Amino acid sequence: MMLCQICKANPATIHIQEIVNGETNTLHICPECAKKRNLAEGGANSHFHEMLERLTQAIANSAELKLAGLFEPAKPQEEEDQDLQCEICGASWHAYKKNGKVGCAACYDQFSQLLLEDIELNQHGSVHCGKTPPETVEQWQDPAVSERIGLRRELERLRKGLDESVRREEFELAAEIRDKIASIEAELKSAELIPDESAPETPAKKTRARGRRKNP
Amino acid sequence: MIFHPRIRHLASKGPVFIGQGPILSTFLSLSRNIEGFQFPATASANILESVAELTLAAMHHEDVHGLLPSMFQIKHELLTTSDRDLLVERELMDRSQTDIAACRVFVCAEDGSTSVLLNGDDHIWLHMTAPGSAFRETWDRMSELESALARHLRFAFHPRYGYLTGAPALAGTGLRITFLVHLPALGLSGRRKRILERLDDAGLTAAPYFPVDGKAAGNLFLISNRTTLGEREEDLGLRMTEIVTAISHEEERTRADLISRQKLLFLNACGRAYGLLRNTYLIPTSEALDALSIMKLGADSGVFRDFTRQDWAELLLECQPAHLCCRMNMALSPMERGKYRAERFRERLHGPEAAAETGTEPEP
Repeated sequence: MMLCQICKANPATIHIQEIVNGETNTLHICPECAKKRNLAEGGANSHFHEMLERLTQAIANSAELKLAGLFEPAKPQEEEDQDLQCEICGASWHAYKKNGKVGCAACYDQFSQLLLEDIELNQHGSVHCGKTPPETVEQWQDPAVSERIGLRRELERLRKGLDESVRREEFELAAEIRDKIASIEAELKSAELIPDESAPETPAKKTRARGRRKNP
Repeated sequence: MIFHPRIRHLASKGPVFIGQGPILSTFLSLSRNIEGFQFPATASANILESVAELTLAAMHHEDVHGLLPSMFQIKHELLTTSDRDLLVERELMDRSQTDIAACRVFVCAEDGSTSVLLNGDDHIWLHMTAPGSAFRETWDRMSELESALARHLRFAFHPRYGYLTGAPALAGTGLRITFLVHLPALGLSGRRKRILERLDDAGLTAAPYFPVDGKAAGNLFLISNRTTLGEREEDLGLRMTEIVTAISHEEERTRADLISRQKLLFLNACGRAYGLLRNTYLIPTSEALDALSIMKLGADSGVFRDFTRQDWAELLLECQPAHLCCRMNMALSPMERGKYRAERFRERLHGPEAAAETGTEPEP
């Protein structure tokens, strides 16, 4: 639950968005503060009057374009958003707005400012409480596993290098990289993660194929 | 063969929706990602393969393996559409994560109580089901499994946002708690819509379990949490349990009121639903679900002597498309499904030797 930005005590249930010179300001306040603020500003309707005036003017000029112009301030904002991209995974803020997903853990920091507003509006609180990871984590120590993960990272790097060398027309280098890729792929293939099974198999048999069952 | 033998085997397990009264079951799902690897939505197949390998290796550690009774694992791409539909019907897989994607691996405990999806929306998606209202026990099990995995894997964690997930709406605890509830009487009284809408104030949402034209066929609803940040898992679960129990009590009160004031109408509805299912030769899912809903109401109120919650829960599963296909071991058209569904109802309600006839008659 979000707290009122004025009294910082009551839950904010009123969310006001103002667009001033193309910039969006958002205010989250509680009903009481909203009441007080309106009184202090000499009546709740000043904004409303302004809006009405602009609308009637637009209609008086009877040009549809003018009417559309009323909604224009939102546009530059969107374009600005589109530019924001995660430096690590390349996911964009625009894509998040579309499908609600980010690309990697770093996105949370990269989009921090924008994300926080979204999260605060929709969540119970703005700071995590609950389970936390243990202090010491035994990162996976099996040399075979870490070797294969290293190979896959190498593969990723090589594939990028291959594209690059083809683009630069360095075909000898490309052929060299291609051979390396093939050998790594063959190595990884031989350590296939889960064997394809079309018939039922006993768990023991299956794990033996993977070569790491520790309990009987 | 349209079903994987392992999945076919799961279909023979008993149902999980057998809670007493209106709260049928509790589902918990927990999302985690491994630190240093991109989330599945943007990661390359290479990265995802590493994630799967790391996680499966962790799962084969003794302390984790012991918590997943006789688990088995299948590459997602080896599962047919029917397999995946069957898993969705059994609440072992999420409808939104059934698509085939790179390096998705489905892991399941053989008793069908726990499933894990690797490289779905997040690297790891733990899912558990339990009959009735059972947040505390299920969470204890879930938390134990998560802690065991966390001893071997470092999960992506942020001091402010908690456990990081592909969808920031799930960040924090990464926990989705869902209760499956059966609310026919509140529906009849016309108060259900208002009650379910008010859940929004508590940060919860209600959705039809079987949505048919925007309505909930079978009067079954899923109540889940919308928020995952700013509240401890236990607090959320207990708060939800309280709310869902209150709704359940309200449903029971309404039922009692309905039965005491309009007994004849109530018995008539139960008798007709029973008659329909017992004598049908062709019945579509939504009609079957609505009739089953009334049967459950009757069973809970002691109208049917020989029709138990267990029978009801089995029929509810067996009348669904993938379970019917699995039973007949072939792909079925909607018409054929209607036929075999009706056959199954007749068989079950007539009994093997058309016995139990007197026992299942509604009491006057």
